[in-house]
Amino acid sequence: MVQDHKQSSLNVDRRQLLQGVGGVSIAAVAGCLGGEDGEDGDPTFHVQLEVNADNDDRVQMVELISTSLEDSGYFSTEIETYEWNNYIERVMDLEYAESGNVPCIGLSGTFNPESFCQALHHSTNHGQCCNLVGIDDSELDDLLDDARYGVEVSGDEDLRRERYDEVWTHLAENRYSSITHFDLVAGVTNNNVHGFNMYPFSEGIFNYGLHAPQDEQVMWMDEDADPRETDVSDLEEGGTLRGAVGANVDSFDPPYSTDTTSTLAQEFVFEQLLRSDKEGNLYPWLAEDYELEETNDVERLDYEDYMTSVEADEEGILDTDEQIIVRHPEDDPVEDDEVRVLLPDDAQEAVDDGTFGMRFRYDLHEGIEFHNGEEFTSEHVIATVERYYNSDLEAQTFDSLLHAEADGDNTVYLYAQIPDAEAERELPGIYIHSMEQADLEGGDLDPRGDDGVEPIGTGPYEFSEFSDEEYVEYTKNDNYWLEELGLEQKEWFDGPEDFPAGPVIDEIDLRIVPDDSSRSAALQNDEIDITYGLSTADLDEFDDSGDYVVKSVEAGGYEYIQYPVHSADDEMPWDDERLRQAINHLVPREQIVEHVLNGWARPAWTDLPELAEEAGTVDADALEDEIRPYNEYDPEAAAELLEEVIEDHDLE
Amino acid sequence: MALLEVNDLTVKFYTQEGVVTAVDDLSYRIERGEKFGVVGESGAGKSVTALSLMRLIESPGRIESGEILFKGEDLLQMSEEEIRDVRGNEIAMIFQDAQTALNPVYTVGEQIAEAVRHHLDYGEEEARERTIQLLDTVGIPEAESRFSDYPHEFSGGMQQRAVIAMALSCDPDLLLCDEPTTALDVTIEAQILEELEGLADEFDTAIQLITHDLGVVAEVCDRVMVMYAGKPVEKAPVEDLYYDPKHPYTVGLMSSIPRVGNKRERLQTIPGTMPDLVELPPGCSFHPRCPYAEDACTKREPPLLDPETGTKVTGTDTERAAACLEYTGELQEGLDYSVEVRSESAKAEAGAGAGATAPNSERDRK
Amino acid sequence: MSLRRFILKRLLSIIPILFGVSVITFSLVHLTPGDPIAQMVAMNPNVTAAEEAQLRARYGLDGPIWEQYLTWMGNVLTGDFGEVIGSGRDVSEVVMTRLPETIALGLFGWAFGLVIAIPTGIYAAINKDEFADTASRFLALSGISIPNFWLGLMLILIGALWIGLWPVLPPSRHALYHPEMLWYLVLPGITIGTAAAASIMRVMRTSMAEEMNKEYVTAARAKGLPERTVVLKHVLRNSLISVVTLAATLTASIVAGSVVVEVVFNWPGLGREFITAIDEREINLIMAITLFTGVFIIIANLLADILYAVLDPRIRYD
Repeated sequence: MVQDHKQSSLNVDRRQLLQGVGGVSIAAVAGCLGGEDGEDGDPTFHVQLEVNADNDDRVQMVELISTSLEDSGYFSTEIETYEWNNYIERVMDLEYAESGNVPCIGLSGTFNPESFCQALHHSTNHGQCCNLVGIDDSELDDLLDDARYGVEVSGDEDLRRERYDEVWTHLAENRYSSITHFDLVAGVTNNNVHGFNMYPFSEGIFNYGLHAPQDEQVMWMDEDADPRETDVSDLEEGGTLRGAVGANVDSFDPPYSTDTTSTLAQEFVFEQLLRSDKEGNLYPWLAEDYELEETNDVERLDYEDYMTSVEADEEGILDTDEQIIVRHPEDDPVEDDEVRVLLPDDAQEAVDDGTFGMRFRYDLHEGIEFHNGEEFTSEHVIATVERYYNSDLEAQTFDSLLHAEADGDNTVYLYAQIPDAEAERELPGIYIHSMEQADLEGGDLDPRGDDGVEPIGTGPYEFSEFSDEEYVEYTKNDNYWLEELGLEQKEWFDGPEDFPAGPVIDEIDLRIVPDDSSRSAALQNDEIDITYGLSTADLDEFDDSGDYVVKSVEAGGYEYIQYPVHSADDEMPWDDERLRQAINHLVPREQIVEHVLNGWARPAWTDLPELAEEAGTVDADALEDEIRPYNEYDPEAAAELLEEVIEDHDLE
Repeated sequence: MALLEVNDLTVKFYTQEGVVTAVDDLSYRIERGEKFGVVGESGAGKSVTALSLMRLIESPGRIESGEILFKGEDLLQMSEEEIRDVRGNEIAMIFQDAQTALNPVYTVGEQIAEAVRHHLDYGEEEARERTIQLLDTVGIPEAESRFSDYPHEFSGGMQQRAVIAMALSCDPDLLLCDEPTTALDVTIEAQILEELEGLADEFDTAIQLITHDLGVVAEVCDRVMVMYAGKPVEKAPVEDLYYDPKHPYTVGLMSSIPRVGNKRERLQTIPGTMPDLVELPPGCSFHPRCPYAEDACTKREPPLLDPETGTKVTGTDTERAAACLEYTGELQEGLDYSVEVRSESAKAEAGAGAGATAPNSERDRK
Repeated sequence: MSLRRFILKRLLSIIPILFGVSVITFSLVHLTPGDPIAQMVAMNPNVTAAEEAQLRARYGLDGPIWEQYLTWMGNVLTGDFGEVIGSGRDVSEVVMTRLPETIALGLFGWAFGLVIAIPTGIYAAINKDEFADTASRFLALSGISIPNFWLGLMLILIGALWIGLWPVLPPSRHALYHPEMLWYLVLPGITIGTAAAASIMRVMRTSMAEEMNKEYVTAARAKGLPERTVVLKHVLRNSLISVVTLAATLTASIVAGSVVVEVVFNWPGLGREFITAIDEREINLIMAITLFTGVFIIIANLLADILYAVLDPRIRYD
């Protein structure tokens, strides 16, 4: 999913996203800075770096890398820049792997460690996001697959962590890509806001910040105290939080929206069966409890017997209105006239026969009320799943979800297609709809216009008003189910007894302000209390002032350059890992963080950021001790490696 | 008391090229009801003189000195408000080119009526009626319907009539006519002049008629002043000027009058051009073009002299004066031209009846 | 030709112009790589080529470009501008909610430009080559050369952050037609109108100075009219003719300026929408905004032509 600038990443718990930057300007920057004065005369290697012109930080970063390479004396470099859409088309092309160029791009990962390795390196991702250079390492493919799929790993978190550690080691040794740094996301509030903390994904800034008992997180308004000196015991109820978001809320219809701000706006109203803390640990939320009941050694091919044959036209469009849950792995809709697919009824049949990858049982809380008074039951979950059929989110929902089944009013089973360690997070990642809105056509859940439909959910806030491109407002849900039920009903909660069972701020007014500096100015002018996505210069200024609170946390965004292993030739032996390791040693990670990002990022000493450490390594410190030496800026080590390469390949 | 008495008027223009003395020490007078002609080539300072009378000289021009007594009051000492009361009301002006003098975006009627409203305190309707009447008086047919026509809907002659109507709108005592007929063809010119004269008589209005055309002067004026390079070179009652011109420039001008009756001949013009007013030649300004110029002319600038006595003339009272060294006796050779009267009833004929020829021009003609 | 026939003729000429504009815009948008579907699926390894094709078919983005154009054109002729692919909203609805905001802003900027420029231009022309004239020339040059986003940011800094007379963000629950909105239009209006004011001022001054030298001015003065009447009645109307031409062409630059100004002032107008639309390659929205803007500019020029006739009776419509 390509994102508009700054606001990147879609459903947090689901996919890696490219941090794109919209905009114009096509420019070519020659990256030749010094360089020729290396000791050995003319540089041996020539590297063409490529980057999208509209992301200033990224361009600067590539310039730093280029300078560093040239300063070594071994490289001459060139930088080509492209407009974003051109760039994407260029690097995603299968042929690009043959060009011998080194692309630079940014992605946004999630709690899933896979989003920091699989997308970049798995051979199946060549030609799409984001194995740009055609890395094809079957050993690595297996390592990646085994860290996520299979009966063993899907039920064993420790095994999964061990397997990911193998992935990181393999990657460090082969260095197909160099991740440079992990972004920090920061939110800024004025001193009226207390208790604010940042979630690793900006779409969670409000939902998480306002109330997240899993992390004992709660926010309140108090104009008379300094937020640096208060804690939960000083909490005051009521008040209005005025915030500003950086993009329009395109949609209040969860299965038909993909952008960050829409998700941010929906999360006041809609909730899911589970919730995540800031490290990615899952907690039953609308569900009282959940459990993995059964895991079977099933492959997608095993659904063959249940499949229906549908016609496919020349362009690969299938002749069916139903949701395709699984397509036969051996059929190709473009080549073949008929394609075997598993439709919802077929999936039910398979489940009835016991053919499924995993089964999770969710016991729902009783007495949860929607804003319209409906009582939450298992039928809401089933209806919601059905509303995700053929929606904008179908691809990422039905790549793992096989089937949903109700058992009585308060039990739901969700089935995974194959044994999958991420299924626990992915299967329940749907926003529960009311029955009143479960049958709406896609996109009809839209409060705009005269016959607008206001979103109804179970969430702590009720939608109150929305003006397109201008503002959205919410009021506290007086019958919020968790407050009715009491936090003590949540077994996992071990915080203080008087911790509020719901957010304490009464009203939320969010202004839509796309321009970063306008949001910054509005905060300075006391027109809003909270915002995010500001420039690093503004962040520094707010941070230095005693009148504001800046909270930042390492997020999923990262940038990398990738080495064209596919186009190795006599002059550029890209297939020799020592060349790649040497360049990696010349990537000035600390400098990039310091000078390009003004310190609002962390050098990527390993490929694993903090937010995915929980699932991605046995011991983060040990991992860093092991991997960091590979990624240190070390011109001497680089020179040594390069000399070896030069000698072995008879270069000069 | 004369209606208008101009004493020692000097007007200078401060241009980037230098100071131009457009009018230099000019004195003359006009009586009530009198028709006074001012003659000279373009650039002689005729129009500047007229504009000075209305105090309409604009930057970079400036009235340097002198006085303009109108009904005994010095216009140059009046406040801006007082002079505005005189303009258009007691002294009115008819411009050379009616097409440019009329504002293209307002109706002809409105442009006349606004002056009436302003000076005579007429209401909208009264002013309209008076305007229609004026239009009718100056000979515009269907005046009522033409009231709301725009200038571009008028023919050249009609435009000129409209401008005349505009000037007459408040019954002025003095009408400044700046080449009122140059833009028109001969037949219309004659009609308009006739009408102008008639109207002036009717309203007992004095006229200062500015023209480069001695023929026009002959037809209309009582007295004439000939100007050259900002200075008066000859003053005379009209008959005297024609039958007995005293200044070589006047003679030159006369030889360039087209004669009615003759086939249109190529106009005889005075050779050379007006000198650059920034750097006037030394001595007599006319000497570079003067066929009778002698050494003395390049050295001494002749003042206005009584041609009979050779004494210097000052003030406005003298009827006959000319600025040529001939009359101080300083010229060795004298002026050698003759005036040949071809028709006794000169003034009765349209155009010019009398002509003077300079010898060199005569030579040219052969 | 009567004025009515002239207007009718001009209105009819909008059709081929808009057709041309639509063809060019449509081709340009399609020549640039990327469409909303590409954006939706490009980075998502879970979407297969077949699914992408299906999505494209759903939004009519498959098929050769001329076919797409004809489909689009056919729909537009029935009043259907399609939907915004990203949000599923009706394009005409989006345009209709944004249009008044931009028109209000543009009109204010335009009015500001005229209100500032005409008196200053007159003053400068009357006091030609004097200090006031030189000062106005300096201001006009500054006004033309200052980039409007910078001016906007400065005005926010001064007007909102330093003096505190205005908020950074326009009031959130505002009624566009409420008189109070005039106050909030001030800063963005000034920003958008400054460049226009500067060029109108210069043209006003030049044409005024030129007119002042004409004989009808002397003639008007010779009638004894007060200078005020001479300048404001006789000279002004004549000088306005060239200002009207300029003001009409400035409509286009005011519309273009609204794009930047709306972003800086967070004004929820068509310009801001346009940026998003281009960013996200929302073809239907880009097309609709371009067409509406085109109509707008053509109408502005038409009004200018009509205004000519009012100002100058010599103008004939043929």
